[in-house]
Amino acid sequence: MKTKYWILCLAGIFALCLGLSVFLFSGEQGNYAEIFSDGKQIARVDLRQDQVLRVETAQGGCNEITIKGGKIGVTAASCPDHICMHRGRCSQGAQIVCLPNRLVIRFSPSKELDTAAG
Amino acid sequence: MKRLFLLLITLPLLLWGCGEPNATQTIFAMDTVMTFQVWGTDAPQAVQRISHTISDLESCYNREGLARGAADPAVLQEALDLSRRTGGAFDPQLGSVTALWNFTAEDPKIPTAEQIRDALQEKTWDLGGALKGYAGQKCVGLLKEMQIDRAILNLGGNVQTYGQKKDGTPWQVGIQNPQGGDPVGILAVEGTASVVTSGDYQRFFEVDGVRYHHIIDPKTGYPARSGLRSVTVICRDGMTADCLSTALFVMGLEQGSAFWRDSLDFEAVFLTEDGKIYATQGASLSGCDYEVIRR
Repeated sequence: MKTKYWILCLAGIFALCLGLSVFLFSGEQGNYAEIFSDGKQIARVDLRQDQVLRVETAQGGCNEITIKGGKIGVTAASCPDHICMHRGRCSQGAQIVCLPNRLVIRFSPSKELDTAAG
Repeated sequence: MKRLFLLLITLPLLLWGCGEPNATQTIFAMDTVMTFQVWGTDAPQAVQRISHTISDLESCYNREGLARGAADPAVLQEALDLSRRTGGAFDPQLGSVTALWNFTAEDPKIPTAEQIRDALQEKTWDLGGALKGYAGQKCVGLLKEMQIDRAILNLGGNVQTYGQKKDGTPWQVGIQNPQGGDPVGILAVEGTASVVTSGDYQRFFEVDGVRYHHIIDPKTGYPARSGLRSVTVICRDGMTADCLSTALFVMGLEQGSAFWRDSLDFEAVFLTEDGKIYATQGASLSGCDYEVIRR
């Protein structure tokens, strides 16, 4: 009886650890993006939730970020080149960058993609 | 019973312990954004050292550094060798021309034909088309020295992979879509390699609907018009990958394919202005339709 109790107990711990391992090391796959302004993370957004964010810099620069239909992109920007806006809306791949405003949008890792060149 | 007990205790601990320490850092350097992801015991120290290496290289190889002779002569020689190899399609001495175009300025302007003609006569170093690739290569040496397990460095779109992925599968590297949106295709890259893209969408300005991009044809001094939107090169050597992506963009699809047939050290993916994708036969590309360039 005592042996059975121990086996049950240890099996329970094992199952718990296994579950935790899977949870901790699989990570959240895709669907999230982190927004950095001047090197500091200012938001972590769920790409499944449509929204519009405005990020302002201390120097008076501004980027409007739109999340719609699982994709994120810069839809308005005060920078002169608008290279950030030319990236269009993305769900994964290379980070979206606005160099003049020091804005970076980084995607959470996905199973399909480790990074992107370009 | 004792064995069962040990098994039950150690198995979850082993599973728990398989997530190695890792570190990620993003920095602004070399007029771009760089992200380092490192896995291994000394990962936090490694990202710090990579960061320092990048800023050291930047100060030695920017205009001022090159002018005061801070650059390693062996690196300059390697750049000249690559220039010769590409028949001058990559030119590390176009500094006067690139300074005229000044693509990083707030309000860049089209230089006059006379200005370009004069600038083409001068031989001024500009390692913009080689430095990020060289930096990736240098970081690989550092990662090896620190016995890092694996890393993926994105140096402003220049990708440097290091080591094997934990599950043994190849690294999955997307190729950016020049028209914006998600990557056009995914390259499977084995082990330590450099993946570099040169594209007309990376740095440019437009005047009267004409795009003036940063990849200058050394023969004309104007942005290369070769019918391509981007070229991606996969190569074991970072600096070679960087220089060749620029050179192949300048050459265009036909001449670039011929150059690849004469070489054995790289693979390439060409994206044309009419939206077609061409990949050399050794490039493991997926997620898109493309034509294979054969030897």
